[in-house]
Parts: sequence; structure tokens; C-alpha cells
Amino acid sequence: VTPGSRYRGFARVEQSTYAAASTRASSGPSTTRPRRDIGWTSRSSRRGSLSSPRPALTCASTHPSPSAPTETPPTERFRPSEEVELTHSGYDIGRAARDPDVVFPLALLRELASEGLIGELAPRAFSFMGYIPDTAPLLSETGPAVARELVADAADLVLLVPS
Amino acid sequence: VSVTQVREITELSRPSPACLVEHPFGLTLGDIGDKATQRAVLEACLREATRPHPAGTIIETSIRWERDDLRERQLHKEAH
Repeated sequence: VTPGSRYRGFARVEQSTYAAASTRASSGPSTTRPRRDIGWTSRSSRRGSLSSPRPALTCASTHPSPSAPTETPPTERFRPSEEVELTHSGYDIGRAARDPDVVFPLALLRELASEGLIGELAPRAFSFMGYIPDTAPLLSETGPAVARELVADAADLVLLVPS
Repeated sequence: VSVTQVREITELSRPSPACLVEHPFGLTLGDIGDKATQRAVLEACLREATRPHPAGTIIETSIRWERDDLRERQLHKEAH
């Protein structure tokens, strides 16, 4: 990490780990891409009470059971009624397997909806699978595709939960 | 609205707005079975979604992990 790097704190730890892994794998095709500056994500101007929004849930490391993630970067779409499993190399998934609400708060969102605190849930949840060190495809392809699907699902609020 | 566990990662990835919850990886909303904390995180984030935060706002929720040093060890790549 060079002095004055934009990476600091845990971002610096992660960048160093990824750089070391990339060096070890340097005999293969490079997965690094030119960095492009991105701005803070804009948001709609809708404000007000939470009682009417139709929220959608996006998270990491969750996928329908018993399939395994296959896309690169892996992205999963599933109905809230489906059984889910977790896959992630960066943390102990045993905890979330015992209580999925810790990373995938679908049951909690249903509880809030049943109490009228929020509107009905959007029909699908989305998951960007686990550790994705090369984020360029996520920014240029996967993310926009999921955003279009969220619009198609008439979600007007999206909760993004990392793991 | 996003939950974020690490401010410096959020400053790079730039979602907007983001609620800072200093919990360990894999326990984003709280400990196993701790429905009160999980719900508090969820409600805090949803509440902030209705407020007019300017782009780039990272909201301090003051929700922190105090049970053990799991988060600190994770941040130093010493534990999962």
C-alpha cells in the first residue's frame, strides 16, 4: 500500500490481502481493472412515513437451497418463501445458519409488515454472493440488472445488508 | 438504505445513505437469537430511509458489539 493511498483502516487490510492473493495468482489472467471514480449513490426524493413502502431486501452470501452459486459475480434471486442457504469464505456461516435474521432479516421484515410498520414486502429478494474482490462487473452489469428487476418488482425502498 | 459495518469500506463503495452498525461480520444485525437488537438495527435503518439525508451521509447508530472481541479480531484478519 503506497503512502497517501485511499485505503485506510480495514479497507487497507482488505486491499493488502487482495493484492497479495493477486500476486500469488499472477501466472493466470489478471483480474484487476482500471479504477474509475464513482460518486455517492443518488436516491429518490420520496420521504415520509414508513407505513406504505414496499421494501425489497438485498444481502450477501444467501442463495436458494440446495443450489450453489454459479454466476460470476454470483447473484441470486429468490422468492421470500424459498428455503435459503449461506455460502461465504469470509466469516463463519454457522451463526447465520442458526439464525438467518442476523444477515438476512426476512422474518423480521415480515414481522414489521404484519404490524403495519412497513408495507408489503417486494416479491423477490436478491443476493450478491459473498466476497467479490473484482467489483467492475458488479458495477457495470450485475448491479444495474438487479436495479432494473427491483423497479420491475415495484420496490420503492431497498435494504442492503452486508454480511 | 444500507447497513454498513465498516466506515472506510463504505467511503469507497459509496452507497447512500448508510447506517453504521459496528457488529462482527456474519452477525450484521446482532447476535444469534437477539431479536431485540436485530429489530433495533432494522428499524433504525428503515427510519433513516425516510429522512432527507444528503448523498454521502453515514449515519452513526451507536449500536456496537460489546459481547466479546470477535469484531476486533475479524478486522485484523485473526478470526472468522
